[in-house]
Amino acid sequence: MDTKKSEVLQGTLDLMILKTLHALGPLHGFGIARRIEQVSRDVLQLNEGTVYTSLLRQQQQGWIAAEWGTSENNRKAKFYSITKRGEKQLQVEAENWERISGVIGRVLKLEAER
Amino acid sequence: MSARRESRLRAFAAKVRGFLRGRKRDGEFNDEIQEHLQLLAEKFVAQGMSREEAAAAARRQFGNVTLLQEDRRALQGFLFFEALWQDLRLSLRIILKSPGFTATAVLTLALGIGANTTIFSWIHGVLLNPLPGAGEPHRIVELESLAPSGEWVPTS
Repeated sequence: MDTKKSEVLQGTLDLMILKTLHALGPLHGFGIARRIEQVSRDVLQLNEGTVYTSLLRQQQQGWIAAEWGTSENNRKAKFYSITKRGEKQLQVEAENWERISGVIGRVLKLEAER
Repeated sequence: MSARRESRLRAFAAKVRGFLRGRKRDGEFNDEIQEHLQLLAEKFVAQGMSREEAAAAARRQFGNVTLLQEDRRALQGFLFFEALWQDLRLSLRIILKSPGFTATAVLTLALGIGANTTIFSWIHGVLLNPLPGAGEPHRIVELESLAPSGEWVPTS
């Protein structure tokens, strides 16, 4: 598999999860997956399981915290929430993306003007 | 500290903790995944699928669970020790499964080691340590006298 592509995909997933937790508050893995599915309608065709790998990695980095709790239908579930460090990371990443997309936009415009 | 180095240190610390916690994490992670698969299947059932279709569709959408467990273990442990432990378990299983082969191998090894040890003991006794009873053999000297013929003759 193309390594670059999977790295970009992974980074995107990390960012989406952080944003989801930032916007919606603590969620369990299933909730996160549903939200991402909603937002990325058919554009991001990934296996839902990868959410858990991303959650684990981000936990290790200290951007996400996990706690066992009870879900809506009274089942035991692990709830994930964004930490302060995670909020900062989200901000940094968002700025990065804006900067990159800005540059690409300008480059593409150059091509068009020719 | 650079962000990159800090994140690697963090990942390392998490690995140490994960390694020390061990088996418990496997079970918890599996529970979480199974719960997710369950919820996903229920969602499909609500959309009109049969139970079997829903379960299969849930597994397909979720992806490979075994790979996920491996990824998790890779993130949370030291690959070297995990691999070593797995190799030891496999070896033990193979050894117990074919007793004939094991017996032959053990006998061969025993013979080889025994022969080596014996021969070395002989050499050690004869060549390297020729004076039993001597406390410090390296301090023993041989006294010779010069005979009128010009030869060195042992003193006695």
